[in-house]
Amino acid sequence: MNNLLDISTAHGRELRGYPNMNDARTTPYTSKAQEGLLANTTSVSVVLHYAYKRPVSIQARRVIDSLKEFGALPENWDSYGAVRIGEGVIEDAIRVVKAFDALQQEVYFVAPGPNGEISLELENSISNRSLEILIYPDNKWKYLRFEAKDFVAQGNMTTHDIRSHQDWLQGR
Amino acid sequence: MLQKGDRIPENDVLLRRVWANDKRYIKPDGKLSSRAFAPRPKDEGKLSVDIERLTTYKRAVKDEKKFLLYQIRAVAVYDIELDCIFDPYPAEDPANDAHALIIGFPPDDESKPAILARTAQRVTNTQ
Repeated sequence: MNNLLDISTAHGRELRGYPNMNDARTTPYTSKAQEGLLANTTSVSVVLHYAYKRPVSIQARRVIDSLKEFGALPENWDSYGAVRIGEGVIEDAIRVVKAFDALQQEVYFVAPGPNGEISLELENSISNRSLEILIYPDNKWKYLRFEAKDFVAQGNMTTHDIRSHQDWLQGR
Repeated sequence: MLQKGDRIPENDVLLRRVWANDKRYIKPDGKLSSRAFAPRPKDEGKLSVDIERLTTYKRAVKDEKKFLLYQIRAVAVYDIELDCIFDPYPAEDPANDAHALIIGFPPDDESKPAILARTAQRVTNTQ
């Protein structure tokens, strides 16, 4: 079986539901475990399912662990009336971390907010660009873009915009 | 001499107390998360600070086991079209004669907390 498929692209699609076969691209696998899986099947859907379950990087795992800790914060966790971080917000933040991880982009810092939101920060030292994503309890997401220290843009976003934000971070 | 409601002069330095007990708002490089400057709904678009020349770092930080102190110049607040007014003896801190408010945060604009956080510098000596 042809072992050419872009698992990162397929994985990134998990946010929109089950991965779409049309998103498959041609990138060689390197993992022996993946090759083994491929050797035993001729079903592309099984391969895509494997991509859907693709493990995250160690760095992303650390970030996800931090996000899960936010769930233990009590009401008034900052002594100035900060509200609890809801499970839905944490789950959304984890999805964002996984999506960027699949694109090999690190989320380097996460913070809970006083209004139940979560902030995720990403940067690219080569392009000197940074991105902040804010996930609110009402399912609204916002992004903020900075070039060096200069604010350049903000707006609403959805999972569909993650690839374009990654491209921007890369300087494209 | 400042009166309640007066605009803080541009060259004043403002002190912001930041929750630091578990470093939730502090990035690895010591810079702040934007969330340290995010007003809450109950704040009605206002953010508490102290005026440096009217207080001491020790008074401003209150409890250095729980808080860190960051400073920002008032002009940096005005540069992003926010305002800062003198507000001594607020109800939640009635002995504080150095208290001021950064006001005018638009409800749907997250750029201003993020810019302030990137501008703020940590005060290291709060003894």
